[in-house]
Amino acid sequence: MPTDKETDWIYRESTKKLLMRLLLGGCAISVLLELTVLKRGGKFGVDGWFGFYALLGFVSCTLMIFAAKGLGLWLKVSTNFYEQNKTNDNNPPPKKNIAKKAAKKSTKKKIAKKATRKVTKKREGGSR
Amino acid sequence: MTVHPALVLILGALLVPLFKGRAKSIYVILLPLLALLAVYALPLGNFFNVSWLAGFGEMTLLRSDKLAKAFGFIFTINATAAFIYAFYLRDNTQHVSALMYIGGALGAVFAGDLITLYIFWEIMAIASTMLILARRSKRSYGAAFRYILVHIIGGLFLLAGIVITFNYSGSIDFKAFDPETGRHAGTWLILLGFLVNAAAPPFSAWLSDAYPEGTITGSVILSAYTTKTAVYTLIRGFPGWEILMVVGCVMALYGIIYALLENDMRRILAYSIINQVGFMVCAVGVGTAICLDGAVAHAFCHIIYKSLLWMSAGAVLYRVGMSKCTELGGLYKSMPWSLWLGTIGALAISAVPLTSGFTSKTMILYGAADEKLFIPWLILEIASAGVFLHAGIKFPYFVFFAKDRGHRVQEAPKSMIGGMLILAFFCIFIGLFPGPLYSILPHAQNVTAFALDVVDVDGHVHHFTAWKFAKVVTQMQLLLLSALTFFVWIKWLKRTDTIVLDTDWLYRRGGRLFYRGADRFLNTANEKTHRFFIVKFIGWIGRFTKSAPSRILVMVMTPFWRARGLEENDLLEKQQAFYEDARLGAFPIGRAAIFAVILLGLLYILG
Repeated sequence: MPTDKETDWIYRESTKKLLMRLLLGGCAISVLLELTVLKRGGKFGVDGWFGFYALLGFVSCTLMIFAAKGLGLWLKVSTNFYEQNKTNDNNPPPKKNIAKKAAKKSTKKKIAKKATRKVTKKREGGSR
Repeated sequence: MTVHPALVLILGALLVPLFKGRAKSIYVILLPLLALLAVYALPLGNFFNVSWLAGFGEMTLLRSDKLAKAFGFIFTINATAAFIYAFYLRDNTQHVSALMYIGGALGAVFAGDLITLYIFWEIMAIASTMLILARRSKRSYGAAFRYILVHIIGGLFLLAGIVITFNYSGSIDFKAFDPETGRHAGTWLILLGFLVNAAAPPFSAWLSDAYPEGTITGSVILSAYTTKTAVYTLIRGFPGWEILMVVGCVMALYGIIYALLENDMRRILAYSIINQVGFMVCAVGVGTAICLDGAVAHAFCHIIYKSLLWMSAGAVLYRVGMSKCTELGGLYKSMPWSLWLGTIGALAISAVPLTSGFTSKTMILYGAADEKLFIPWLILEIASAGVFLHAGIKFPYFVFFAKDRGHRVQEAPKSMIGGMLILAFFCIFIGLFPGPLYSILPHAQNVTAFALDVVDVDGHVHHFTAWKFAKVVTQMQLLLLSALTFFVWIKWLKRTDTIVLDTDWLYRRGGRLFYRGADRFLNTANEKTHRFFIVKFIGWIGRFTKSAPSRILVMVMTPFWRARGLEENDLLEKQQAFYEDARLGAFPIGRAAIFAVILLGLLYILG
């Protein structure tokens, strides 16, 4: 595990913290600068409120991220989604599945055989 | 002498195979430069009027006005930068297709009538398909096939609309259709044809499906022309059609949500095109002079920064050979030029002050606010914040920073850097001095380095200034808080190796599902019908014809037998014996004669 000093400066925790502070500072400055705007008052009233655009930026982006995340649960599929469907349609299912099913069947058969053997042994034992 | 800029490229394309090596690359750079000169030298007016379609009147192959010239300038400037970027490439297929495609776009923009527009529209569709096919991969073949199918349908909408419109108005002139009196089946079909090319949902999936499958330079070129030609046609034909405001707002938000979900960097940029075109379409829907000029200015700037972003992504694809965010990262050291130039494009698309996007997007927002259209204005402001989220930060962050995947590659070739430098220069220059851009806008007057006056149809003068302290402050608030949101919720934005289902599902998977459903439904119906009619019904008919006469006769005879005093058991025996006689056809002659008389009597009465 490389130490903080060995990693590239951009990936260092200290750099990340610094960049985050700079971003927060920038946000604060942009909001505070609005105090110096003499002519405030938008076309709709609400856009003239102090910090309206900052609030709009944060809230709308948060909502968009959540909306995307929610839709992603429904809309995201594997990268070969369309190719998979093609093979299922035109060809028999891939060999892997057949092999798995065969393996499952054989294990089931084996288990059933074992169980019958045990039962017969018990019976045989019991009869003896 | 008046030279049609489209012909420079289309005829020039035919000679490309004659050149070899560097001469070929130089030749394909010179062609769009010549076309740029041709656009610059074009006087205003209509040229090349021909009438070769009997009954359709005169066609105007070249209509030169401020609107067409504005698009002509940016199409040729971008083409020059794109061919400089592609200097390393010596592929005839790509060069010829690209030149034909750009020539088609120029021809559509300078078309004075609907028939000429349609011809160039189809040239564009065919040539652009070749740019996707030129990648020569299985995926690109599939994407190209779907792409051309959608565009054929769009072209058919357009053609049907043109024919119906001609039937209504008796004219093939391509001019603004009145939003109130010009609504009929023809104009709606033309609008639909334009919206297919503008990638408006639900006809948008072709863009995110096909563009990322194009070649490196092919996609750079594709990103600029089809959708922006559609924007031009909407500005020309449908200003003030309110439905476009709704379509534009949907596009702006849809593009962001899908770009946030995507993993492939070129698909992110593809969805970002839809988002940006949404701004322009919405502006056309508002339809005021300032909004229409805003749409033209935004299309101009958009072509530049979007090509720059596609170039940056193309450079990464060229060197690393990968385009998924889950496979990329940590390239900031290996490809610093691609990073910085791409970042300029990312900042410009986000409308950061000092970049081109700020000087054009704010025109549209100003126009929407000036018309007191609160909801469209709010949605476009939200979309502005969202653009920074997905294209401004997400694209450079996940490709060049995020997690170091250990790719140690060379910087992009010098020609690629050269093409990007030209476009990055325009992004900054227009951001600092938007005056030259404003001066080519159709309704602009009294243009200064940072401001212009726009006069509406009703005579209302809008004085628009690119730079205002309050505007810069509020824009920075919006963008910085958007950036903060990205890093606050970064865990939620982690990439997964997935794709996102879009409306192309309907024809890629839905078609197959429909086939399966129809197959199951029709076969089940067939089987049930067979079971009912063939197996049951015919058997029933057989049994009926076999036993019905005897049953009827038994019904007739039973009261007589009862009257003769037969008991129930004897009655049943009598009936069974009767049935048996009927089965064997062994009735005594006397009884048979009675039945025959009864039947004949019935026939006589009923007849």
